[in-house]
Amino acid sequence: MIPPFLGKLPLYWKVTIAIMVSTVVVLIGSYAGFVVLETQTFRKELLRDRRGFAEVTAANVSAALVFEDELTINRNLESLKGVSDIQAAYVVDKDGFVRGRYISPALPLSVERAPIDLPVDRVLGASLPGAFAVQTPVTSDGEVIGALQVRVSSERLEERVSRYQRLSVVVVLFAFAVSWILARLVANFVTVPVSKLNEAMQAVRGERDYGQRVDKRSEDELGRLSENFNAMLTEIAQRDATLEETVRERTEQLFLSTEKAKAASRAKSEFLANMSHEIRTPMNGMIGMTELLLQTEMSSRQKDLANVIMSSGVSLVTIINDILDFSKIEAGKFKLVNAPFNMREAIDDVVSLVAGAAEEKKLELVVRYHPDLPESFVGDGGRIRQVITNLVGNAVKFTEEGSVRIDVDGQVKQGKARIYLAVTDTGIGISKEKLPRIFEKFEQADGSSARRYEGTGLGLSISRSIIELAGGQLQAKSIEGEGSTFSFEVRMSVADSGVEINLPSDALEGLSVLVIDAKDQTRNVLDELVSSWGARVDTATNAKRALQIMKRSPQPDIIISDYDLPDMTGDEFCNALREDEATSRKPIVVMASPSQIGQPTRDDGLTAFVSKPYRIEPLVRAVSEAMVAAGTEQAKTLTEKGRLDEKGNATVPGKDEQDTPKAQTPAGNGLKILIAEDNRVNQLVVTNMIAGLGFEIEIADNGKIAVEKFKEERPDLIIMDVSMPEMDGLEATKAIRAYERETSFGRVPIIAATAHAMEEDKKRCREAGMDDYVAKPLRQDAILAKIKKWISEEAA
Amino acid sequence: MKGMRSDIRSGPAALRVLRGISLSLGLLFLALQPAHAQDDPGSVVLKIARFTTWPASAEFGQTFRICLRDDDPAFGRFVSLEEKTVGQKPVSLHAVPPSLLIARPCHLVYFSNGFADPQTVAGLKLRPVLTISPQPGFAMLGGVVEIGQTPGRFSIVIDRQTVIDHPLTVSAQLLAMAQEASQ
Repeated sequence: MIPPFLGKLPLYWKVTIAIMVSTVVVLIGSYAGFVVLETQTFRKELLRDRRGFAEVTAANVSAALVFEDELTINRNLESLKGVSDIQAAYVVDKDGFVRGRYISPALPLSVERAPIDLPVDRVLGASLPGAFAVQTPVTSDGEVIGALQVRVSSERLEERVSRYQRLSVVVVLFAFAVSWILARLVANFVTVPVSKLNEAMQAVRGERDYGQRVDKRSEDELGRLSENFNAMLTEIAQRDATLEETVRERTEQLFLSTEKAKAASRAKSEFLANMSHEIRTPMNGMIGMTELLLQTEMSSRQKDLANVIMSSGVSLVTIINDILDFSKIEAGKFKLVNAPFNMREAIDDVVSLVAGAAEEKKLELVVRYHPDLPESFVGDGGRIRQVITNLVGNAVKFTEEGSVRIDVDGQVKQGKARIYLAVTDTGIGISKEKLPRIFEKFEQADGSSARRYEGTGLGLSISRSIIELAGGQLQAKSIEGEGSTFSFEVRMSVADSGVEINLPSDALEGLSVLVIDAKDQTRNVLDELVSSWGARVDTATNAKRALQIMKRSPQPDIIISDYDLPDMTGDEFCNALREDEATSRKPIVVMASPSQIGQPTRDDGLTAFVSKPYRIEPLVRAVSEAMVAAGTEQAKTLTEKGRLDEKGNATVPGKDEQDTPKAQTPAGNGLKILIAEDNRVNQLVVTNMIAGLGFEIEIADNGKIAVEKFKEERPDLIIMDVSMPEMDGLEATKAIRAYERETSFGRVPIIAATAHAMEEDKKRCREAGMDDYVAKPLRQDAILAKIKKWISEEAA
Repeated sequence: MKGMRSDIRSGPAALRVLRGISLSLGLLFLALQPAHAQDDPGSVVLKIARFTTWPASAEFGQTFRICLRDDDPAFGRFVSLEEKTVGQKPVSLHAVPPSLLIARPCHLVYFSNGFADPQTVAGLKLRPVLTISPQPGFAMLGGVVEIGQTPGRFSIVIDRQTVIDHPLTVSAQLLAMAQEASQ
């Protein structure tokens, strides 16, 4: 672990300090070791030498000691005088008595003139202050008879140590000097290349200058590091060059690939559009012709066969539309448009569409639209209608008995609505395994090879995409064998000037209404709806109970009854009411299937028939007119609010003006209609649809001819196909409008006949100058309604 | 000692008596003092023997043989030596008739003062026998070590030529204490 203060030091100083410390420590350590060793050796040699003297002297004095001849002993000890560092010598007998002594003048006065107490029988040494004591035994015939103890001065040793100490200062200084020089050399050797390398790296990093190179100063690791650094920079420069080239090539390839993909996508889109158009055109002919065929005299078998052709054609058109939508979603070109639309009406349209199928299966088809929820919103009504159609169509398709219920609820806050729509059925349901994949394309609840139900498997996938594009989420809950609920929630703005078909909440304030229906859901929904108008509602599940209620006082003012009552038919119930004088003048609204409604001659002014499953508009109109028939005061309020006209006919403000006139046969009276259509079959279909009505019909095979014929013939109305060769309908319309402006011609109504019935297509048509549009495949009632509408306006 | 006696004679009578008593007591004390080690001839002989080396030819068994004339009165004072050793050999004491001293195997022969007859000493001169005696002139007779008569101090007297020619080796340390016999 490097201490923090060292970590901040430059490499140069780190290396210098490391080398200096290690060099000084080694040198001083070596010197200290040398001094210790040298001193020890000197001491040992000194002692050995003096011990030798002592041993010789001890041998010499042995006889004298034996014979206690102290004179001889002292004479022998005197011989030590020549040894300068022997300060004293003592001969002691084995009892410790001093038998002889020698005292050198060099012995300090402070030192006691006596031997130290040591065992006599051993060779011993002892350190004394400033001296050593060396003792050797004196023997005779192998027997220890005493000892000679010599005091040797340690002055020489101390002098030597002192000399070494003085020398150590020089050694330390020398060590520092050597280490400093060494450290400088090594540090320079290491740090200079590293610094150069670092500078080069900073230049590379900061300026992206890969041309930087470092001089190689040695052949060691640092030299190789510099060499490798230079090589690395060269490689980076080369790689960059290669990379740029590669990027350029890849970009080109990518661009080409993208262009190819775009071209392929365009080709695909064009192909789909063309295919769609090419398929729709013969479908248009087939459906149109079948419709005309159905109007001719045919046997019932022929009629059945023609109906099959008709329904098959309609199914095929639906499939084509799904495929087209799917391809648009796949291509990311699927977009929603925002325009005001009536949600309630959209749901009613869908319900009307599936009503026949539901009636065939005897399914109870119920719409519960929350009475407080507005009807007009800003959104893509066509696509919302498509989703609801898909969900309700699936519900009817996969339900064999029971009911299909549509619930619409929501909240409105500051002009923004959160709408929740759920379609619940009592059908076959979806297995747990299938449910998570139900929104995936080509997935179907009944995916078995022997499946009973038709379909492409695209409907739910498209629906999910539409809802997601609208900012919502489509969800499904299901229990296999019990039924399913598909729901979604979307946010839309409430249309400020939208049409509200439903009656105001106080429309029936003070009135009493009897609702008769054996089906609980329908009865409850009607109860809720009529209650929301302010009426007091009584309900009955059968005619008998209803008649009992009618006998009460006060009687209900209006009766709303299902045709299919358990105990009698609608007709029988009406008769029963009319036969009783008390109830004979009570207005009744009967909800019946189209086949049960019968002829208008049955209208007695008090009985109104509404197709079931009921749409809100016919029901509202029927109830409004029933109020007039009942002579209620509330009818006057409705008139004031514009919901009834002066004649007592029900109206829907803002809607009646927009509404397409009913498909009534318009009177031609020699008016000239120009039909611009390139397809012969379609020409034939349109011609046959309006033939025999007194119109003079002109055909143009393309837009260019249409413009020419417009100039020559001055038609009163033009039905213009949008897709045509040479000049399409949009270009032709623009040319006609331009000609009208130039020549001050009156504006001729141009009705677009287009298979592209989406909002964006309508918008393109309007922008080109067209006045209206009719969707392909053409249906006779639709085209006649449009002709009537625009001829009437022209006349007006 | 001579000086001291003259001082006593020159003092008053009382003092003379006192001095006389003191002198008597002193003499008595000296007389009662144990004999000095150097005064024991056995001990001295043994110490000298320890500083002497015999040639290999002087192997006379397992003991160190000390011989005295059978008529030597000091024999009794040598008896205690039989517990001692010389050169790791236990000492054995032998009383030998004078006529047989030359023939008998002895490492050491001791002659008390007056018992060293020149004939025997001369006979032993060239034999590896350490001859010791306190008899004055013994060294000159050919004896190896003559114990000196220096008062208060042990001394030995040797004849250089005898020591040099003798088969025995007397240590230099002992010789360092010796006085050379004068002619």
